[in-house]
Amino acid sequence: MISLADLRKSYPATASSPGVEALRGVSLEVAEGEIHGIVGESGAGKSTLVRCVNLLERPSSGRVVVDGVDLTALPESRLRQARRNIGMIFQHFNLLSSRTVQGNVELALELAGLPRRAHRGRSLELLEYVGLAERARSFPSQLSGGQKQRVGIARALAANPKVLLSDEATSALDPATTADILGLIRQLNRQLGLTVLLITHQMEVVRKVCDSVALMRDGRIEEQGSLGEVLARPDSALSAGLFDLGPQVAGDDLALLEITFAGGDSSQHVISQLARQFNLDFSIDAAAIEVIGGVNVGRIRLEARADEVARSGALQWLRDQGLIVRLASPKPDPTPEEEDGRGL
Amino acid sequence: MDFETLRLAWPTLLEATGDTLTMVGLAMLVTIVLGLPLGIVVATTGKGGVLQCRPLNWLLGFIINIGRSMPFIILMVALIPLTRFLVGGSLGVKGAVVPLSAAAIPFFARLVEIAVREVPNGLIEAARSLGGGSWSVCAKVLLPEALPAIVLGLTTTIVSLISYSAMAGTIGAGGLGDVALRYGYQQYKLEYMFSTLVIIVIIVQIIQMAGSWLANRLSHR
Repeated sequence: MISLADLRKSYPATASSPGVEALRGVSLEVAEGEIHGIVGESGAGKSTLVRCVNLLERPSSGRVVVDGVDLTALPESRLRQARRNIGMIFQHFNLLSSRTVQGNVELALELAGLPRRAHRGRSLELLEYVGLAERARSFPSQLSGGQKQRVGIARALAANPKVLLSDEATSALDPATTADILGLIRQLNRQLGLTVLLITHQMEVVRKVCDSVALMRDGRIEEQGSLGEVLARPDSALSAGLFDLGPQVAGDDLALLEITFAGGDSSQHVISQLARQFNLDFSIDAAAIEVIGGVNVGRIRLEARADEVARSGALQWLRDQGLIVRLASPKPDPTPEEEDGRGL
Repeated sequence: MDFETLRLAWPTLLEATGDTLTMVGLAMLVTIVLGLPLGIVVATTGKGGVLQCRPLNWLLGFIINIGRSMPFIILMVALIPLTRFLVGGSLGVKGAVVPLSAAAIPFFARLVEIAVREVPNGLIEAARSLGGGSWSVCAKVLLPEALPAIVLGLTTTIVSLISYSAMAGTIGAGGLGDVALRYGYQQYKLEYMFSTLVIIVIIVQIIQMAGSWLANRLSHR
């Protein structure tokens, strides 16, 4: 649905600032109906990247294809047409203060060129959908952050887009409201088949809603894949950041078992089976689990006596269950990927 | 202070007030019609603006600066030939409208420019992401969002126009400035001088109050 090929964007040096290479060759494919997250620190180029998808920023080179249309090749008037197929929501909502909630949604209908008599019905229908119909006549300044973002979403949906771009849409919201908005985005994705490209610096946003994820650093994509794929890579900075188990601490004769559930058939029942079958005593040291598509994915770190673990053959059994298991050394040094994990 | 003089002055003052208000009102209309678009064009043709056109931006900025740097009393005299050409004479209310507008247009245009530039860039981005072109961004986003600030700018401009109109009185425009000069200064009738001041203060207060009230009504920030 979204296909970016070798995007580059540089800003020439000016009197007040040195030149910046914001994108240094980014290629990305987002499949139809997928929620794709892009994470990275500020300054990594995420914002520029998402703005290149609807050409609010024109890339210096490279190609942007959305829904089969090469946007980079379109003249301005056709590009405006194509943008109506791509909704966008923003960190600071960007609602007009001079219009009511309904007026803000109608702005989108006006810009999309819908006949005027259809505006009222359609805007109320959209507000109904995001659960704000009763606030139609309020002004944005009278709404909470979460409500403002719902208006932003209603506005973005006005022209029935196939793609939604989300630029840090939950970064200005508190955790409960963030969960609400992410739930709504999930709902749009399921009910309307909307393809979502979401940029964020919050790992838990990716964990909560994304099907796949890319990590950006210095204008490049360092790592990408579905959440399961990323998780299955033992040395991945993304998986360490996404399912962060915290620092390892272990005594001399203790072994640390890091078990990764990457979304296969195996369930967490293996933990109790492990105890029963191998008569093994262990404690759960840390766990980071998320239910994605009805499947548990994530990591669990167990702590058990090193000699018992070695004798029991539990490691092999776990691997036979299709799990990824790493045995940390009894005297652990902080591993490099964990250091990376902190940085995210 | 002589109350009998004040009573006799009343019809003169009333007529002069009417003249001042007419002058200022007409000049205000011309200023809105020409200054508002000028301000919007200057605000949007600059670097990164939605109608970016830097040569035009530079040219208009240059013209506005010339207008703004001209002392009104000199501008007024210098414009007499133009005034004669446009309205057929340089005296009276209609003669004053030309120099008053010429002074107020660049002033108001700058205030409009500031108001439009204050509109957050994110709103422009949002409108463009919805498929809006430059003109619809101007008409549907910039102008409505800047309107409260533009109303305040217009209020400031009108107050300046009132003070300019008094100066215009010195070259035969009539109005309160003329009364103050002829009766108050040349004939040393304090009653006239004082009354014109009071009337001008009252007009300015009313206009400022009305402008602030309207701007507040329009703003939903």
